[in-house]
Amino acid sequence: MTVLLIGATSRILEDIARIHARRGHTLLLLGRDGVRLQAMASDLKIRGGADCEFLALDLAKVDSHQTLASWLGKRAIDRAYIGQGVLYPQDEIEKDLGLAHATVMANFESYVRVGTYVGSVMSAQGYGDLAILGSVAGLRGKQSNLVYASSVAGRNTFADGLRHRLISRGVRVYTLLLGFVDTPMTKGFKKGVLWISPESAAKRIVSAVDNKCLKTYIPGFWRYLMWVIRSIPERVFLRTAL
Amino acid sequence: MNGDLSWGLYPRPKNQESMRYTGTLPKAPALPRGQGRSYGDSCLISDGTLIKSEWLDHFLAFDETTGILTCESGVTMDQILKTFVPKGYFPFVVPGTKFVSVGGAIANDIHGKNHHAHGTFAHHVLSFELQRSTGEVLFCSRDENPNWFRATVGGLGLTGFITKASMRLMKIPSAYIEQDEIPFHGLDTFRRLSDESAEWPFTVAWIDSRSGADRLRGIFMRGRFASGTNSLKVHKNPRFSVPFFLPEFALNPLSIRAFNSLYYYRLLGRCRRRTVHYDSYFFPLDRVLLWNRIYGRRGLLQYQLQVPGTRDGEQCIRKVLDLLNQSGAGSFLSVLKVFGDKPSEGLLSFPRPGLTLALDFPMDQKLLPVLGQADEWVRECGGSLYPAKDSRMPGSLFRSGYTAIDKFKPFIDPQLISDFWRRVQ
Repeated sequence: MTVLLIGATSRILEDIARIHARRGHTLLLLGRDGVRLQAMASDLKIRGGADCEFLALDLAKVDSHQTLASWLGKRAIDRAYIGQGVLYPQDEIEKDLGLAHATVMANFESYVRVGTYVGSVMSAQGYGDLAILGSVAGLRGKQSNLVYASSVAGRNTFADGLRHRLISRGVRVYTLLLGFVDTPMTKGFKKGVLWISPESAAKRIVSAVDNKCLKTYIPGFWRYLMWVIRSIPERVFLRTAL
Repeated sequence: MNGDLSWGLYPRPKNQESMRYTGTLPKAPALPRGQGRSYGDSCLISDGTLIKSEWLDHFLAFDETTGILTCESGVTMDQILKTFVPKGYFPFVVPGTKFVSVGGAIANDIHGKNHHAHGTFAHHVLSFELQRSTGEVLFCSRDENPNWFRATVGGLGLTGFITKASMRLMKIPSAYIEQDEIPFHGLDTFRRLSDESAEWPFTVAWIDSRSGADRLRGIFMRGRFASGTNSLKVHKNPRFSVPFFLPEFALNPLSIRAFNSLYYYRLLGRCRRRTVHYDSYFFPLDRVLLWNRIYGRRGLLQYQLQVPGTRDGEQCIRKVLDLLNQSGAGSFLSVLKVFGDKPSEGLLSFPRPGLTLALDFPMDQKLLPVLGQADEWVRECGGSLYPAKDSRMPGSLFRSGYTAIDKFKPFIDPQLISDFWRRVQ
């Protein structure tokens, strides 16, 4: 099986790649940091990956999907995971709107472009599993991380729409709504009981795709938590500090 | 994971921050940290920052013809076993738990049940890279920067941050260990059994620390990799954990005595030979994650000493065992082992030829004078205590036990420090 990992230098995707390496799959890694990708590739081959290639690419660049296309060539892709992202503190974004632009480009725009492209590759094949790592943050706009949350909201809806469009072509698109995961991206946060490790997130994500759970929360308890959060009436919500 | 305490949950650091290593060392004061499985304060830094190697966990190269593995320092034994046992390889030296990092294994120059056959962990390390707080990276081996090599092995993380290492793995016939368990009485019998078992690579004795020296009862365990099978089955992840701290009365002198008796009598006085998986042979405690919580919030105190193999050394062990018997201090899990002759390479390495005794106690202030008396005997016979397990040894005992401290000091990175080092200096 050939597995494409986009945003591969993310800790969660690295752990997903390790699961597939242990299964002996061929891995294609795409990320920004070539040096890290090199270390990852050696690591994954030693852990059992059949073959591991990588490409260093900044997905926020508007033509990056074309570079991706030429790299992939005619290869068949059985499964793909898209998981890049950035998280800037809301206070900093308000002082520097360039960060707002960067957030939207990395967290939403690149997913739309690259996701549509990979979706079309799989449509042409007539099969494929495309897993898009979304977030529960996108399920309700709130003051603490509103730019991040809205960029992810776009991503969640994009994944849902793409799933609807491609299901009749034999391609399954997954919306994985992640809760709090302890990764380099969230290093500024204090960790509590609701947080899980990237390894645990990776296991759950791979398991969701293995079991064809098209839209699911990681971990499952977020379904209930978010139901509560979303049920709070707007006027009451406005008085919270969430 | 145990948060940012040490494995013994005592002492507690104050104002300790942590970060994960991402390429540079933070502003002083700081301390490299692997899995935090040291028991005492050698992996703690009050008013400072821990630099965790957790995500520096890539395998970089492996040569099947030589068995030489190069990997980043955050790789754990658990990961090495999962990846290499199926290929027929095993680390030469493993400690009592798989959840230790390669960096930590070097920094404490750890030993295992096969010290008499294979020495310490660093004996099988060919080289490593050491990053200093200036940003300089030193390649250290026995030929290149050998002084840095010897300072960093057993150097408790104070000479710099180990980023990657190359080590040799051993080829194994199977993932199973043929094990003999032999109940015995008396320290002399233990010595005799150790001598008779010299051909067995793995030997250790569990002892009942309450039984005193003359009536010492224990179970001598020797093992070797089994050739009768060629299964290379890997261990499974632990499924059990201790979800909360047990109340302090759970582990008390009575329950400890009961456990020790049960453990001894389970063999019904008979020898037993059987074949077990490497996971239950080497890492029985790993089956329950966070087992340190059974000691309650007060934590545990580990005391591991080593003494020369002379008459004086043996006398010291006898006196310590008798003291434990008389004082009622109950060690939950006590282990006695012979250290082999292979000299350790680190300036502050713990293992030296002779005997080693490891004890653990629920933390109790009443213990301190008892251990203080044991310290005296250890000092008198020229022995030492193991820093990786220590949370209370006096500076004077550290200095008498480790004569190379002055040679070590110039290699300490000015930005790095640990609570242990502050305490013993």
